[in-house]
Amino acid sequence: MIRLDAVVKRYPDGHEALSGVSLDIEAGEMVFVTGHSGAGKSTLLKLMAGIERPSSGAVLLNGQNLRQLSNTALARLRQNIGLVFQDHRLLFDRNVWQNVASPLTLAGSYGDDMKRRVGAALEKVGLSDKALANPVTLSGGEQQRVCIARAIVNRPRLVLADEPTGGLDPHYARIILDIFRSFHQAGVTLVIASHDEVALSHYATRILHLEDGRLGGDSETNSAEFAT
Amino acid sequence: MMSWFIQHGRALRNALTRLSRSPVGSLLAILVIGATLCLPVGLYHAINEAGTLGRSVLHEPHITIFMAQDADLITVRSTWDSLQAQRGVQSVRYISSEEALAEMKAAPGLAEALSVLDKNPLPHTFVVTAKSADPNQLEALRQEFSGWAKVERVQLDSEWAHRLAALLVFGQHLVMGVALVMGLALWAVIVNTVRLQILSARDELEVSHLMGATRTTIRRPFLYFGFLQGLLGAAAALGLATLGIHLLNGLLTDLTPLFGLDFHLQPFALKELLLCEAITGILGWIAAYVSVTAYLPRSR
Repeated sequence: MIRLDAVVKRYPDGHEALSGVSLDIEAGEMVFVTGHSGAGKSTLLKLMAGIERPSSGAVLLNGQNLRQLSNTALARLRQNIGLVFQDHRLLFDRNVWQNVASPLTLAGSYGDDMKRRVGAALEKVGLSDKALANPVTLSGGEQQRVCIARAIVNRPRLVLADEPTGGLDPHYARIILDIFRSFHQAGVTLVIASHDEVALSHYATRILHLEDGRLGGDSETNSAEFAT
Repeated sequence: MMSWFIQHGRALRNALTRLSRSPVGSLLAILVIGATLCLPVGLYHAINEAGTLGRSVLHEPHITIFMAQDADLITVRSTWDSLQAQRGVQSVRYISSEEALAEMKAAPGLAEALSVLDKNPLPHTFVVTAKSADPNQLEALRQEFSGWAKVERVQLDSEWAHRLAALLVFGQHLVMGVALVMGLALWAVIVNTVRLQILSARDELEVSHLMGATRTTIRRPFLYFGFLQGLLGAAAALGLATLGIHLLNGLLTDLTPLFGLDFHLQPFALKELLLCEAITGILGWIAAYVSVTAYLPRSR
């Protein structure tokens, strides 16, 4: 589903965030990307989402070379990718329902179809009763679940999550990871940047380890909890 | 197709929300646009109205012929006959020096002044109505009459209307210049307002970009915002100009009878209203497009 071929990402200030990274991720995989801060995890996800373009090399999504796509084509492609951020990126001048519905409004969805999808996404993350609440009144864990509901409301086949449990206490982190695991079981491909030890030890089936912008390791695991 | 309408409907609603979110700021911006546009809109209308007045005067082309003081009645009769025979003349009215003096004596205040004169100072006069209002033909008649015996002076009564027409052409150019400058000011106001809107919506735009909004989708509400500002600004300008017309008409009611005229400014015609709204709305749309293109963050 995702292929990176000798990808280099160099920023205008000269900093090289990724140096010749090559990897393959199959459809339906749940892959964790780990590494210290500044190792290039977020950059890797941004390249996979088409938010940024590689300086050299190729990022292929379902066989499409993202580097060759126009900005408009990349934007349309992103409408089919679920993005989860550590800082949630919620809009506090709108309620939970409106935040979750925002990708659908961009896609031109309306009416009953929109209501059904938003309702299903909120139910999936257990926030049906908070639909009319302002996100600012929610806890960090709830805000993250709103962010996840927004990511999945378009029923994407790929979800990219950047430190989704960062800053959350273990209880909320586990709720979030359980939600991701249910997506994985439903056949969604997940790429999660994290250095959450609980996540890595209990939920990961494959871990990519980045070190200073290079792929330092790619290991299959056999999570006991995941098997249950 | 339905989706297209919904996208535009949402963009329009978004623009209206932006306008209503800070009502005082929006109102001030609209008033600035209105005040900026009021001057060229009002001047344009006043010049058009003055042009109508000039044209109505030109439709009655009069030439006044003043005979010399020593012109005898035989010469006056001969002049009358010559005028009747002229092809370019529609009608002739003769005012004898005695009739003119009697008219003047009837005017309050003048009778006493005229009584001190030992003889009638007024000449025999012909008021000629020409067939054509064409300035060249009128000038040709004037020159011909000037060459006749015992003709002292020939006055083209519509000459002031021609001068007015020439002034109006100058005025129209002036209005164009003012409109260009004010249009530039309007442009700057809308570009800056949209820029501020973009800056205040950074988070929303960033999230929309990440969610897969194209630049066209992100740009659209701001274009509607500029368009609405233009429309509302034009409405404010037209409102202010209409108020100005109302106030001026009050002054003209006293002023124009002194010049023997019955003239007052008409309100804006529907065509003028729509034209002003359309031009300003489109200008607002273009200004917003420029602002959005310049200030929307680009993907790396």
